[in-house]
Amino acid sequence: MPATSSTSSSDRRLLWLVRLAGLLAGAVFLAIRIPACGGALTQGRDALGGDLYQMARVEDFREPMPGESITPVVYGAPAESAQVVLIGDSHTRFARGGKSLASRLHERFPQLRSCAASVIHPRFFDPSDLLRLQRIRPGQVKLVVWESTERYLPDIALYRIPLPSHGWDTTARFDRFLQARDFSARWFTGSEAGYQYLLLNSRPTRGLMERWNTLRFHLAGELPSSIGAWTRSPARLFMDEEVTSAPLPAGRAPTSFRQPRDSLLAEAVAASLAEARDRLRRDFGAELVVVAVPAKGSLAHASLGYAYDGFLPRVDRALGRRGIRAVDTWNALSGLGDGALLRSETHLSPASYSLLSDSIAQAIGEAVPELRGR
Amino acid sequence: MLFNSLQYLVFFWLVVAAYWSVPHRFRWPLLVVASCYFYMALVPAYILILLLVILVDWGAGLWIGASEGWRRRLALWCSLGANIGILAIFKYWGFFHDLSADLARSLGVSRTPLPALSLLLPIGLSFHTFQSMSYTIEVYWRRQAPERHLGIYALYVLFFPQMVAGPIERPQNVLHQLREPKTFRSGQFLSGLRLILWGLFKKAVLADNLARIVDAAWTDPAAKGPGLLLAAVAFSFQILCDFWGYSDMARGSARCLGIDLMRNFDRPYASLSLGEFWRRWHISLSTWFRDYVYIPLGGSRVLPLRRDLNLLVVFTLSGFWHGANWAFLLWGGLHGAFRVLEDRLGLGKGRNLPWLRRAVVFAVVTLAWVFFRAGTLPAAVSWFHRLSLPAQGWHLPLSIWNALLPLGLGLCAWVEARRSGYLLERWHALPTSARLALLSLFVLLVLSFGRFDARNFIYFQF
Repeated sequence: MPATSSTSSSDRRLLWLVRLAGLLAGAVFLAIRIPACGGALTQGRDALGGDLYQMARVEDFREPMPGESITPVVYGAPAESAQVVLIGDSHTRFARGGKSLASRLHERFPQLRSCAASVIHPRFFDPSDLLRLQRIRPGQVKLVVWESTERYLPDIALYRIPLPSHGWDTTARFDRFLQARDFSARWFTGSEAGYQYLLLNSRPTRGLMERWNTLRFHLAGELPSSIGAWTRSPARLFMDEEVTSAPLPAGRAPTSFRQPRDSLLAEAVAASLAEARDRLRRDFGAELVVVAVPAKGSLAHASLGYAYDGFLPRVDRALGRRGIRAVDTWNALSGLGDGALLRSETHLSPASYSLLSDSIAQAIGEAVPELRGR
Repeated sequence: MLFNSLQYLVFFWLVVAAYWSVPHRFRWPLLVVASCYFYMALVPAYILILLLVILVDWGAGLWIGASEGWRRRLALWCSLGANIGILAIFKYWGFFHDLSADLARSLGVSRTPLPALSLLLPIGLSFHTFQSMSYTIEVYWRRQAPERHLGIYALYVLFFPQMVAGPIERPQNVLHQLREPKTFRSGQFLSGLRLILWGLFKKAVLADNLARIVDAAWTDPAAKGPGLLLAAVAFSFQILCDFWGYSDMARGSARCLGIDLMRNFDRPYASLSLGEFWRRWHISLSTWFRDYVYIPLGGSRVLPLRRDLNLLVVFTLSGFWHGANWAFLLWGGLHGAFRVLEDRLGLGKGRNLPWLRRAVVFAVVTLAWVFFRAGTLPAAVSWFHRLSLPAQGWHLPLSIWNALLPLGLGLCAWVEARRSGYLLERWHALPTSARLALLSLFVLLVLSFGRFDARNFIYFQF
């Protein structure tokens, strides 16, 4: 007992408390670095229905989606035989309570090659560049289906399609780079995100945090960042970025869900996608189909007490004026009502993904008649 | 690692528990490893620069201690040269590169004399190089014996509570504390925890909420009119609470490890003169410049004109320490010019009309902060231009919750004015249950109104 040789009983009692806190801190320290420890402390995402925190807030703390590994994220037909390429973000590969959108489409179209590009990255690519990176030659692909969430649609469309942070380049050198980056993030620079994940998902704290923030949301009308709040009737969990109107700090998201989404923005998005479509036609002879998935906050705007600004239908109309095919996701999903959403997830319900895959399949059939009816 | 992060919460308890559980001989290695880890949580590779600074100054200290005459001076200059050289490369290269390019252009030379380097500034570089220099200068002046133990010296530079943003300590205050065996005292530990919590209140509740107002005014190009003035006042309090909060958390963390660090702030906006302001603001840096620059230049025991020049040099250097661009130089120069004016007109003397004097000092300091916040001269000029324009519908994004901020600032000022005597006595006179209830309430207040998005401290950029 080196520190207690000449201490009083109150000092000793406090010292034991400090040691106890140290042990707890040690457990937490290991929990985010060793998956087995983390799994024991957290409730498990299936029970919670919640990848929401991980996907929406806990940046850089990447784990595989349920039932899926991170690499390879590119799956489906080999590059040389792909006729349809699906480029999407987390909606494409999300698979809770059913098959992912990519899997559903792949069952219908064996020639479909899907690529999940879920992370906004400072470097942006055009769909044509993505096809080139996939070593797809002109004439091999007939259709590119591009899925994006409503929230990131302006970012992605105006700054081009995001470069995925993994998966596209599968060279050993790039893998080593990623491994080194992951090691550094896991052990040094990125642990804050891991601790946030643990705080928001561990057994003793998750319910407490949600109730506390729900109370804050209903009292103050705003949320601290990184934390979600529940709405009543129907009970749904929302992230702060889905319910607040303050602008994001400059550089975080240049055009985001929170910015005034006027008709000018809708036209700009459509114009940018028209350029991408023209390049696809010119370089690959391929067509573009846009699938913009409505945000949870938009579909459930009534329970949040907001009026929907009609951004997606306006983008669809702007796309239509430029002759770009777009799947009418808004009307399809808003028709599902409360069943469109998962209770505590930023993603949609299996019924929604089923409906979306039907709509996309129909759009593929219309765009490439020889694939129709599969 | 930021003090206002979960990462630090876990790290702190892990280190503190381990520190008080191991024998004394294992404590310095524990703290060195922990401090390296603390620094590597920001940019791992930059620990090498820090280790280089440590090795050079430790060696220089031993060399100075063992030499006399010109060798002693040479050893000092080697140490100063290495520290200033590292600063020049990582912090000032870009500034001098731009300057040389402008000069070359004006002389009609197409080639830039200095090559462009795109280096990231290691966090806290200005702080730990200055702390290192204070060691070798003190050894040179024979006010400090050279430290023979490399581990203890490394800990003097690396000690995690103060390594990234001070206080810039002196070897006489810290080295002996790092060497001496310590006993766990609950009173000292709890007062350290209180200081951390108090610092967190200043940072997360006051500074980071004020930042919303300030950022809205500074990042919105449409911002104009008198609202900008309110944002400038908000920035004065934001930077105070941000840096003071950091310093309190640093001192509190060190105190939990049984080590006392110097105070860095003493209610600077209560100053009656600009001279007094600089004796209360960032005390460790002000005294560094006073002891190692101002006094060696002759201080105030020279002719009045020379004294004015000394003041201008010291304040301009202080501005340059903060940032390598013209805005910071001007910020320092402005303070220097106001100090000279204050001395010449005798405004710093006397205690009459205290509130008016405080208001004047606050106004001058707030005006100078505009250059500091702007970061560049064109941005500062644009701010003054936009201030003169009519608001035309633009207003600061204030909410009902912002109305609580003056209350928080008032609470902060009230506690700071009384914490050393009256409040501490009253606190200790309370029964344990009442103290626990009050503390819980305060924690709840910080959690409710604080912003915990791991926002950087303003002074980390230096």
